[in-house]
Parts: sequence; C-alpha cells; structure tokens
Amino acid sequence: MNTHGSATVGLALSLLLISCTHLTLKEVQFGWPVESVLTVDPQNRIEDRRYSMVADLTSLAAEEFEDSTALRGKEVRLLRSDDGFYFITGKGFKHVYVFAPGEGELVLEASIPVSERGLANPAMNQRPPYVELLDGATLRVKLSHTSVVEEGGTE
Amino acid sequence: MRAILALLIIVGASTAVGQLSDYELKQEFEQRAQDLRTALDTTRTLSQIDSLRAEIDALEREFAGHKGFLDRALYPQTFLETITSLRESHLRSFDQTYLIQTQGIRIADLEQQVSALSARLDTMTAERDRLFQQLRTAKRTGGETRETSRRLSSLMEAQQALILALVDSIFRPYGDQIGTAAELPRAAAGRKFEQANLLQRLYDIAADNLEFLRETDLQPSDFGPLLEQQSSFAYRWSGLRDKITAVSEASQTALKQKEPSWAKAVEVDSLVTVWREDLDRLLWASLGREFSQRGIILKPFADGPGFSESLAAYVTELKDAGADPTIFVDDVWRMRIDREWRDILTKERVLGKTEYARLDALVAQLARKSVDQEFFLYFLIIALVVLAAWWFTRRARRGASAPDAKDKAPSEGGA
Repeated sequence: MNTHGSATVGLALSLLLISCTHLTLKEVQFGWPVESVLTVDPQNRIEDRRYSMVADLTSLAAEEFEDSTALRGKEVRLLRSDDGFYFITGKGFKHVYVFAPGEGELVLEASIPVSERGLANPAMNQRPPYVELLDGATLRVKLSHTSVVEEGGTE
Repeated sequence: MRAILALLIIVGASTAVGQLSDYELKQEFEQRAQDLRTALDTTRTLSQIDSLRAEIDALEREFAGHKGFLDRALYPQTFLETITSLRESHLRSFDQTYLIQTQGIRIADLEQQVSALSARLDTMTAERDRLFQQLRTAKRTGGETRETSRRLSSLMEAQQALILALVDSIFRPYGDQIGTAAELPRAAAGRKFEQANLLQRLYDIAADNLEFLRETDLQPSDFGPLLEQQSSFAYRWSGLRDKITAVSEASQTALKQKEPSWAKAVEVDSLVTVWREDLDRLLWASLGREFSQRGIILKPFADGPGFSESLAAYVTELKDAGADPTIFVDDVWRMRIDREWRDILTKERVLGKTEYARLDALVAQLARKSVDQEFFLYFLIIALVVLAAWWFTRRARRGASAPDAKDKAPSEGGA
C-alpha cells in the first residue's frame, strides 16, 4: 500500500472513531423556576403550556389512590428539578413521585413517602440541588430524586 | 416508614413558620399586578389614579427582594418589565382622564393622529433612504445627480415639516406651558413623545441634512432653501429643547427608567451646530470658487466679515495698481455674484442687505473709474483725429495756395 493509501485509511478510521464517540454537553440545568399547578382533565391528562408538556396520569392515580379516575378535576403539582427529574404530588397524596424522562414516557424513579394522612396543602420549591416540599405550616423537607434529605444535606 | 414520617413532621413543624411556596409568591405578585391593571382600566378620577401610583410603588417595594426569582418565574415578562408595564398603564390611564377632563380630547383620537403622521413619516424615511442610495451610486458611477439631489432636498424639507407637525400635535393638547406643568401631564406628554420616537426623528433630520451637504455638489441656487431649512429647524429646536427635556425627565421619573431618554437632545444640539457650520463653510468656499475660477485671487475668507474684508482689499489693490478691472467687475461681480448670489448674500445671517450694498458700491466705483478712463481715451483719440484732419486740411490748403502766388508773381512783375 502506498503512502496515499495509508493516509486515506487512517482518515477513514479516525472519522469512524469520532462518529462512534458520544457527544456530551455538560452543566445542563433542567430546573423550572417554579412548580406548575395543573388541573387534571376528564381524560386524566395534564398539559403545561409554558413547558409544552402533556402527560396521562391514569396510572399515577391508580398507584396513589387505587382509583384511576381519582385525579380527574383535581390539581397536581409538577416541578422539574435541576438534574432533570419530574416531581409530582398533590393534595391527598402520601407520596411525592419522581420520574425520569424516557422516550415518550416518564419512568418512575422513586415514590417518596412524605405523609401518612396525605398532604393537606402541598407546594414544591426549587432549591438546587434539591426540591423543597412544604405542606402548609406543618412540613418542610428537602427531597433528592430518590428520597428525603435531612437538613444538612445527609439522607 | 412511620419513623421517617414522624421525623419529617417534627422537622417540618420546627421550621414551618413563615414558609411560603414559590408558586404562591408568584401567584400573589401576579394577582396584585392584575388587580392594579383592572383598577387602572376602570378608575376615572384623577385623584384615584394618582393614588394607584403609590400602590404600584408599594408592589415594587414589597417584591423587590424576590426579583431574581420572579424574573425567572414570571413568563414571558420579568419583574421589572411587569412593574414598568404597570407604570405605563398608569400614565396612560392618567393621560386618558386628564385629556378628556381638561381639554375634551379623546386620547384615541390623538393617538390615531400621531399614528397616522408616524406612518407617513416612515414611508418618507424609506423613500429618503432610497434616494440617498441612488445619489451615492450616481456619484460613484459619474451619473446624473442633480435631479436626485433636488428630489432628496424637497423630501427632507417635507419630512422636517411633518415631524414638526407631529411634535405640535403631541404638545398642543397639553397647552403651551407643558414644560412647567405638573409632573404627570408632563410625563404623559413625554411618554407619547418617546413612543413616537420623536427625538430620534429630530436627530435624523439634522443628520440627514449633514449627509446631504456632504454628498451633494451644491449650486448657488441651492444655498437659499438650505439656509432657510437650517434656520427654521434651529429656531424650532431651540424652542423645543427645554420642553422636550422637561417632559422626558418627568416620563423617566414616572416610569423609573434608568437611562435618561433625553440624552439624545445633546447630540441634536451638537448636530445642529455642525450642520450650520458645514453649510456656512460650503457656502463661502463655493463663493470663493466664483472668483478663483476666473483667476481672481482673493484673501481666503470663511464668513461674511472675512469676505467683505477680502473683497475691499482686492478693490483697493486694483485701484492702486491701476489694473484693468473688467473681468472682476463685469464677468465676476455683475454676471455671477450679482445675478446668482445676491439673494443669498443679502440674507441677514450671511452678509445682510446693508453690507452687500456697501460692497456693490465699492465695486461700482471701480467700474465708474474704468468708464471715465475709457471716455478720456476716446476723447483723446477723437481729438487727435480732429487735429490730424485739421493739420492735413491746412497743409493741403497751403499747398494749393502756393502755386497761385507763383503764377501771379511774373504777371505782376511784368506789369
């Protein structure tokens, strides 16, 4: 093989290697500044116009309330954390559900227990790197995408 | 699970006092802003509108600590944009009520008028840009520029008249004393002035005229209208300047803007001065060329007194040298200056009628002296011709009488 031939093969191999490497963008912040309070429609769907997001909550209602229609007409609170997970909860919820985005779906990452009786007046705040959960004047905790985080940052 | 929940409740209860959800904070801000907007839309007395201003101030003050959060959470506006929009609504509401109560003018009519004039101005601005482009291209390619210059000059004159009409239509409803009126009427007028972008438009007039001077080869006949236009603009600007500053200052205070919107007024001041200086410089240089192109070298001049002095010195020089003044008097002064430049030079801001008459008389003296000398020459020639004729006649007579005497002598002697 002559010199030109070797160079061409080398270039082709380099291009092949480059195309196989995953391109990664770092330091992305997915966090929403404020939670969205969305009303579940009769088809069990929620729509967030600001972030152009639509989801079907039938399975969430079945999981939390053992009734797939329990959320119709109710409000749920949705907040995306800085690391890209979706936190969902609402009035009467005993858990905060954390979902990871998938292809055309949200995949449950964790269901974090937060109230035995169910939340009375919940709200979530973005407090990077955590999400803060409030329930009126009775509860204030920080959540990671897997569990409750104690004050001081330990789980 | 129970243990975790118990712990959560204890931790939560100990820290829960005064806690507020971000969502509630955002909702509260948005709700109060919306309530204020509704109040501004429905309130119809000046005193009530005035009191709403304090409520906007209070809203801004109370939520200023959350500015960073609200900037991100409010969408699509930021915290400051929301407050500014409230202040603008307040000003508009005041304006609406003030104009109908004090002048009987509906703000919608006024705004329609301003909008129609602004639209016409925008059309003219597009045409101006096209003509400037055409002029530059013609200059670059050596094409015909005269007609384009003429059209451009007329267009700029019409544009200036229209902008000044627009200024009048904004200020007139507030009365002549708007510059010293209370803050809110001043602010309302100032806001309209800013919305019509009038300071920029006034700036553009001066800038366009300067560019026109630089792009055009001016003829003597061009200077008259150009001087008129510059004087008229400078006069109107001097009357408007303080008024504009007063209303813009009030508008800045009312809307709490940081950038003074009247800063451009200083630039207009400067452009008006440069416009005047450039026009004068071109005028005197063009006048100087009338002399130099015919071989007459005057001392350099750049203003009226300089021209008078230079011309008087040249006349004296011609007199002292006894040189032939024909070219200067007939070709330049009578055929060019007196015919083409008199209307411009007699303007008070150029030379003035009295000074022009004095210079004309000075040149006329040179012309009379020249006429006297010619007359003397003709007289001398005629006298010489007459003398020569007389001398030849006399000589001829003598020549004729001498043979008669010779003829007579022998006969007399013979007798």
